[in-house]
Amino acid sequence: MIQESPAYFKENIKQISEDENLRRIVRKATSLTLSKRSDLVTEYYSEGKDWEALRNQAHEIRKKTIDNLDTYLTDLEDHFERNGIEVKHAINASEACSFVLRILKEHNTRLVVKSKSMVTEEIHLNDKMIEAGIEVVETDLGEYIIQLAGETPSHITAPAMHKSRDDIGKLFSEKLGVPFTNDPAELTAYARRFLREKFLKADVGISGANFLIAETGTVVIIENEGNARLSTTLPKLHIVITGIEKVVPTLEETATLLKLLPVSATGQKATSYVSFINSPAKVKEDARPGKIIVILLDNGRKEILRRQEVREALYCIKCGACMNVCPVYQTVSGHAYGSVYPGPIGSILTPFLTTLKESKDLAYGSSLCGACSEICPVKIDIHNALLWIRSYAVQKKYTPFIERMLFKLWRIAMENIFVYNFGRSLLKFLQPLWSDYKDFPPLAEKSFHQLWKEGEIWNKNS
Amino acid sequence: MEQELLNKFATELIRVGGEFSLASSKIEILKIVNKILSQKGCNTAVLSSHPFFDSLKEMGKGESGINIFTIEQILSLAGESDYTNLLREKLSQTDAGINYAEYLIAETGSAVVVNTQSEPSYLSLLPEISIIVSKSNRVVKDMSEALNRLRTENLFDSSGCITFITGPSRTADIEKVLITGVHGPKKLYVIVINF
Amino acid sequence: MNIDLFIPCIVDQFFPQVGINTYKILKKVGCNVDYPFEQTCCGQPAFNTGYRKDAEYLAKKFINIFSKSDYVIAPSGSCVSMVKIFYDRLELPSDYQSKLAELKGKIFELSEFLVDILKISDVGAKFSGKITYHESCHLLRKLKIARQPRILINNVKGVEFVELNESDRCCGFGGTFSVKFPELSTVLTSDKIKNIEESGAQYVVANDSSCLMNVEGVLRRKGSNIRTMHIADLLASGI
Ligand code: SF4
Repeated sequence: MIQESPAYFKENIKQISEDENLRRIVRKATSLTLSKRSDLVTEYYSEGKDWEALRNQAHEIRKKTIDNLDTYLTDLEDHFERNGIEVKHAINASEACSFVLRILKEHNTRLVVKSKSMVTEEIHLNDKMIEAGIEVVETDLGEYIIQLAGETPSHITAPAMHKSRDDIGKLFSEKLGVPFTNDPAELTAYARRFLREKFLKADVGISGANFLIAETGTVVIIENEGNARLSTTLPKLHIVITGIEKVVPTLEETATLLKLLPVSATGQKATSYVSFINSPAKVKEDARPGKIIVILLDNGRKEILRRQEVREALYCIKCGACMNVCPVYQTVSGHAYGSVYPGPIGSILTPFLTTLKESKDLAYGSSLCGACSEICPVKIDIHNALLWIRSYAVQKKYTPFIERMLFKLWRIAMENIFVYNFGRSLLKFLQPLWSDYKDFPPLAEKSFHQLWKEGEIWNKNS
Repeated sequence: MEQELLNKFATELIRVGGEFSLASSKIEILKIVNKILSQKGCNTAVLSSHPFFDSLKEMGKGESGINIFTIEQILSLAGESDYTNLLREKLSQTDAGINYAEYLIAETGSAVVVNTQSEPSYLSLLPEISIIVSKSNRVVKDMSEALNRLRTENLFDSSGCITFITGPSRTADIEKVLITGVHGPKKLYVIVINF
Repeated sequence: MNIDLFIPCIVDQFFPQVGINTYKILKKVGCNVDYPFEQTCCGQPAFNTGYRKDAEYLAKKFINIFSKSDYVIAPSGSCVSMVKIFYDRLELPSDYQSKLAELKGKIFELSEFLVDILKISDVGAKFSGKITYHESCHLLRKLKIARQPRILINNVKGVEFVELNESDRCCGFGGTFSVKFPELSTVLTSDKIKNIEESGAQYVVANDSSCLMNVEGVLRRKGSNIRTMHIADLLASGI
């Protein structure tokens, strides 16, 4: 059993490392997305444009925004208000959930349609709404699959990446009572039919947001399926739940991020739909929700903001590229992390959304190859943040006692060349660390130090 | 320059699975629309009430036996009853929706649709076929130019919701296999009139 | 040209011939080579595991030893990147910081030094065999060294060079990572080995002994005939 908690990361990894099927599906999906992405980047250069410069620009935009977050949030709120969009601030998950529940109750809600939102996963909103007797339907195909299966997303942009078409075929026939098929087109058609009905009956639509434009008071939602458009136009009430870091100062700057996000996320120049939602319907002829409420969630984000060393994690535009490119993610998929946000960026965010104590292993579950920092469209130094979290865990004494002792000994050995040379024989103790899986090399008969001292090297080679 | 942008737009649109046609006059737009509708075996279509279509509303009707309603007609049909419901119902049953795009974006092959009372969001979303019409002098370079123009022409702040549409509705959530028409239109046609 | 060798601790203890060959190559191309004897480790294992205080201590020691060198050359991308890039993350006193700033301009990985500083693309080595090349992560992504080793390998007489599929994918070592997550690390290494096998090469060359030790560890366990080879060992063949 894979445990839904980062505290079980190591156990989960051990188990999943054996799952060759899963590995095959995930590697295939991630490689495909990566190759589409890199084709577009190559094309971008071939058109005389500079992808790297675009990334730098995006990094600067995000840096400026996060460094002055409060200012832009105030600006955003003013413009939301002008546009007739209600704003609420939620400090943590439970506050956000109770806001939503209260609103739903006020509106006598029976059916909620949701378009993909990681923030609602983060606060476990669905469980709360279902407990309150409300029917909740996820409408993004991937999310719908996951909901039917009673699972959590394994990837932030492709929630059902870990499922094969056979898995999904079986799931649909079991849960929807349709004849078994593993044809993606037929399966999609079933989903369309079932979900269209729900859309037309829904009382409330809940969505996340990709960007919140401060200067215009706009909610920007990016998607391919059209389910977000349906969820945010058909019901009478639209609730947006999103993190405070999603704010972007200007329209112009949003355009820059809009160029980077789909290329990095799915290898598309643009997604099928980008919605810029400015205000609720003013008259019935608008045929859109008459009310829009935006809930801005903190839930640990301000804590990240306070820590200079990891602050960049808030630059994240949730493209998922760092997951696709991560050899660890490719091998173990998202559930192993036991966190809503898996992969490299997840390993930085999770300690602040939960506790460092239970999620400290995540930061160690990286070979520090740096592929994530290299691909990140907003140039977050993920590598550096992971290293810092490790040092923070050490500072808090969350690392194993034996490890701390070993490093004490190691330091003593390294401090002094005589102890160092004497301590050579102790290295043999390293052997068992690997021996279940790999052959540890034998120590050289004489170290370079010894050979040098004995004159072996310069005598022979001069 | 305009030609270059238009070519680029067409290339990108086709790349994302959209279809492109050029019309030399408003009458020709109708012809193309009719051709698409009859090819696809459509019986009904709903036309936006954007002023661009004013002169077209009455023309060409009956030519192919296709019923074309306008948003205005649906609105007057609703009378005192629930307009939104009627609109949903009509658009769910109709085969095609015809929209006007304020801009076309060359770099990405996108159409910029400003959702208003005369062309609500459902129009480009509920029917299985989406037909979008625009003018050749409305092609802009990229998204940032589109957003800038929307602002300077006072379309951004005045509209409740603007949508950039790039190709048909799509998903790749099942083993990354691309399927179109998951929730929105299966087919997207863009007709550009030379202006 | 006066050069001080920096021989990383893994090389020192397990693969001294890599150090010897580095010495040989640099001698061959006409450098004066010395080896500051008090050196131990750059501090990377501690730094990467989160033990920054210990890493700081070793960084200071390292800076003291090498700050007077004209050039510092190491047969490792990982350890050079530790000094060049990651020392900045440590809390070093300001006098050390200024020495570090200078040191960063003088420390080079072997292949980079040969090709970019000495402008040598052929060291005159001879070796017969089919060779492929694995890019060590820090060498590639932190130091941006990819072109130089290929130039040098391609100029070794008798070598048949083939590119490795996914050459830039991590071999799964990651130091403390391979100790904390041995099964996962081994899956990654096996992926690497699959690519190496498919390349048809008899030898896989890299610039870091740590990656090679890891890959070799699984190759041996599998009983494979493919061998790993440090670039210094290749470049010193026949000279
Ligand atoms: S950290 Fe960067 S690469 Fe990873 S999801 Fe966020 S924006 Fe994308």
